[in-house]
Amino acid sequence: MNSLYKKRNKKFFKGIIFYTVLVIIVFIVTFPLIWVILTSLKSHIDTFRMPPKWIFTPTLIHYHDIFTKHPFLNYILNSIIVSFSSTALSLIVGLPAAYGLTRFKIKRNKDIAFFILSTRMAPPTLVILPFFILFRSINLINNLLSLIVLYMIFNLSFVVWMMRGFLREIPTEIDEAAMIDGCSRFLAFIKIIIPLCRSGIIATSIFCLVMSWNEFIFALVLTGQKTRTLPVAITTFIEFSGTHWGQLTAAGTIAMIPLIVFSIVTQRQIIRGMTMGAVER
Amino acid sequence: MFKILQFSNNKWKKNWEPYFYLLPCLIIIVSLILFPLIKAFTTSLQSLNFMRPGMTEFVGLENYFKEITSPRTWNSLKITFLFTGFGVLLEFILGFSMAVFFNRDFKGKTFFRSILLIPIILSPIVVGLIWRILYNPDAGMINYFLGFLGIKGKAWLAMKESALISLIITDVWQWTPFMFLMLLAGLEGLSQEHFDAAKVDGASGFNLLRYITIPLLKPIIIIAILIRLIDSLRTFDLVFVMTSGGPGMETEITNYYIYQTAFRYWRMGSAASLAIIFTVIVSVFSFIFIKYLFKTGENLYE
Repeated sequence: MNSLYKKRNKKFFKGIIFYTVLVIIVFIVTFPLIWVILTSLKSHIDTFRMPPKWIFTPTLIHYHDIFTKHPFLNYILNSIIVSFSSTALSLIVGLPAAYGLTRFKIKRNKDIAFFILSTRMAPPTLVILPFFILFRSINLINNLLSLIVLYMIFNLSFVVWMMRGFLREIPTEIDEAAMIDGCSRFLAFIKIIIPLCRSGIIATSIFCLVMSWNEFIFALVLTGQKTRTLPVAITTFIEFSGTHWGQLTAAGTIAMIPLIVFSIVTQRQIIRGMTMGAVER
Repeated sequence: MFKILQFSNNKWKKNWEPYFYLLPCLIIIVSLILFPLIKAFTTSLQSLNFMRPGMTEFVGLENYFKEITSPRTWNSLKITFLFTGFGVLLEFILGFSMAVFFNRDFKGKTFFRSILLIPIILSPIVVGLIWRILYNPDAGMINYFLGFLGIKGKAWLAMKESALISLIITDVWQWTPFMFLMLLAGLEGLSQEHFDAAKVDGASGFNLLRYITIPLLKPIIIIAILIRLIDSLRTFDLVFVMTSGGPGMETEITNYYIYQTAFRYWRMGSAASLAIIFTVIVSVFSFIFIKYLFKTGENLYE
């Protein structure tokens, strides 16, 4: 009786330790985010009050300011245009390539795939210099098109790599059956294979969207006043309003809220994509 | 006649059909690799400077010579390797411990995962902004919390001794969850048999970890570290928002130095030669690293 009691007690304490560690980690991860959101809702005077004010009357003045005093809506639109169009373009070019790599006996199949992936490893500064000189000479600086092209190329390698994994899971008998029924291979690919790997395409697009949405150095170098994307706009706020944390944190909050919502909704796909890439290699 | 034509047509189709799918992608990617490499190389041999237009000359290897002998280059390389080395090491140690600790069923696991996913997908710019505010000497939360422990707050990002460490802590905050989620997925994928067999043999705790878990997990460990190394060597955003390379040049990683040379001083030739030097060093290191790791990985399986 006594020993059973001890055992239960031990289990109980183990549980307490476990959940304490869990709560500490959750706190470390979420506190900075919560703090930024709180700061964006504080009035300017409350921001710098020490010790910090935990209970305050929230204000949306900073959100109002960044939309009226700065073309913030414009920046959001730029980010949306660039990330969605580059993702779409890289899927259009990358999906057939991934399909080709999985369906045909191509010499050095693995090397091609690895070569495609290796483009992601180059330091960003090595890539941006030549493209800056090129875009400058053809007057594409300060034009969203230059960003779309660059992001498309970068997402492409990723699309091929990830979709190769998803497409391999679909047996080749399926395309063959469709081709026997009179479909051309290309039609079979469009009409049957693509719908079949829908979840893979969604996971891949999520990654591309997030990468384009967050990308900074290319956008910093290639955009100007009107074509700024969100990350670049945020850094100009830092230079601009130095200690004006209200606007700064409001801008930061707007940039991160869609991503947080997105990550919670699509948690499963993101984790699957992240780890699948690893297992494949 | 007709038959021959059709035959050759089929053969043609068989040989070339794969390229119909692959070619657009390959053309784009090859041009992505070749164009910048060639253009960067030719630029690195010139004295191209946008502040002095029309005075561009061919200077041979002069840019390379100047950069290799410059202490600022070596300083930036040192900072880069310190940042990447310690950052990735810490992320791995913490991520691995967490993965082992949380590798079981518990209430709220899905929720826990969602929370840990957030830092990974945030933009480094936003992360840098957040931590810049937290590190603020006067109204920052870090000094506030340290006050409870009786530690006097300092301007962590402005001090020579702590600037780089502060950057590394931020990087660790953002990327430890990545290591954790990767390794946790790896652990969950391991079949229980090995562990049961080892337990029957009397292994437990640390031995189980050392002789069963780590060897079985090795492929995923290698990949996770490799991904982080590559990404960490590409870091630029964090330095740009948090310290601008300062104080002095304490946090000037190579990417930031190249950016300064190119887009602050407009010395394109020097910047291109620097970028090439950096790329060569990184490639050599990653090549050796990959070779070494895969070799030890394979040996373990034989």
